Amino acid sequence: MAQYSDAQIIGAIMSGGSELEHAMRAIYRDEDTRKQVFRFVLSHKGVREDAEDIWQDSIRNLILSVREGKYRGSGTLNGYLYGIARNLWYKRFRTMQREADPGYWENGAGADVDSPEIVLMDKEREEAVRQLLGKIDSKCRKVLEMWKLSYSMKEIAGELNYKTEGVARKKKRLCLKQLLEILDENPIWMERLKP
Amino acid sequence: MESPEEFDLIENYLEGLLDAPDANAVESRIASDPVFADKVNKHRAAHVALKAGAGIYLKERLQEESEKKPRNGIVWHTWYWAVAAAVTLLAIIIGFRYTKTFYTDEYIAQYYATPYGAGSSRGEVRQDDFWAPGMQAFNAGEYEMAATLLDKIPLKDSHYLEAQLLLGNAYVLSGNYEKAQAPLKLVAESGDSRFVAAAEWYLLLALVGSHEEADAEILAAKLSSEESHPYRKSATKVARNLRSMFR
Repeated sequence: MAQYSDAQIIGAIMSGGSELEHAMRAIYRDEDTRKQVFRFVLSHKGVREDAEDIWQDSIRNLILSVREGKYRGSGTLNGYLYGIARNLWYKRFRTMQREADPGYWENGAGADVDSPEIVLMDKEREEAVRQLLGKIDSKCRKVLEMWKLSYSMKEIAGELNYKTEGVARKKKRLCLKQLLEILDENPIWMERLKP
Repeated sequence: MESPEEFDLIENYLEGLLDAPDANAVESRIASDPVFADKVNKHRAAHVALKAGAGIYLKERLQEESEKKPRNGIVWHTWYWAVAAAVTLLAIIIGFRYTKTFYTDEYIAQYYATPYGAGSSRGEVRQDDFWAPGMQAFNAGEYEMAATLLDKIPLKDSHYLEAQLLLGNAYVLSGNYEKAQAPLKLVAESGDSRFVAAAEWYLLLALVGSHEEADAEILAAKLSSEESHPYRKSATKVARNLRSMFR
């Protein structure tokens, strides 16, 4: 991230689309923060796979938090990202290790006091969303996800090989209708997706 | 399912694209019209799912990134590894073949073969037909010529044994290992302490050059084991070379 200021990164995330993706790559390639996160996870009973997973989830959560306006700009983006990583690992580790070593976090080993507000998606909810979105065809799913991340219709058309922006726009509308129909036919999803 | 106008109205409302009066109107309708409220809730659930879906999309993109992420400045695609492995293998094969040339019998024999210093008789001018010219040819490095001349020195000549040693040495130096064996064996078995050690040494090289490795190893072991043998160290090296993994 060193070559970009926090304001530039936040601006790119808010713009969405290819700018967001560019920012995401820049964050991902920030070796300093990555090492910091890895060190934290590895020194708190994690393995490299855990650290990589936490690193990716932290970036994802950072992006979602920024897009939802939950990052208020107090402190650096790197610090915020590190805080997310610590909280994520804290949460995950506690779930994993509750039985094996119940006193570990309670003893204050790495627990984060300055918790940034993060958009946590638990595995159960993520799985439910995967199942729901799995009911629409994969191209439709991609159109809707890209649209939700503010990709322009031009970018969506380019990525998914639609001839024009108009075609992409029409496709997005049809896909959203398809999703609404699935929700209409399966009211149980409404319960699972209550915000 | 709602009409296209209703669809757009709900979407614009959820995305915050309506101005305040229109948004208020939608909220009033939600409060008073349960069917409409139900439609809005479905759209809202779809948005929640898509927001989570966007997170999944980001995670997938990050995983793609992790698969191609260069840790040392180079993106190591699979084919890079294949090329690197092929180059390394080729280098090993070439290196091995190159190194192997240093351990052939001929190479070992030639590497250690040096002209025998013939002591006080070296360069001595004699009146017979073959000794002096044989020595001259030997000293000039013309080993084949030297061998031809030295081979003609008769048994009765007082320098016969020395001539046989030089003859064997000349054969070794000119690569005629098999021919070298007979004169060298003769000198080695003569018991003449002046020439035995040198004859054994050159015989060892002749055996190596003739690919008679079993006999060469026996002789090398014998010379290596003799503390006072002047060629002990060299014989030890030859024995080691004969057992080299590069052969």
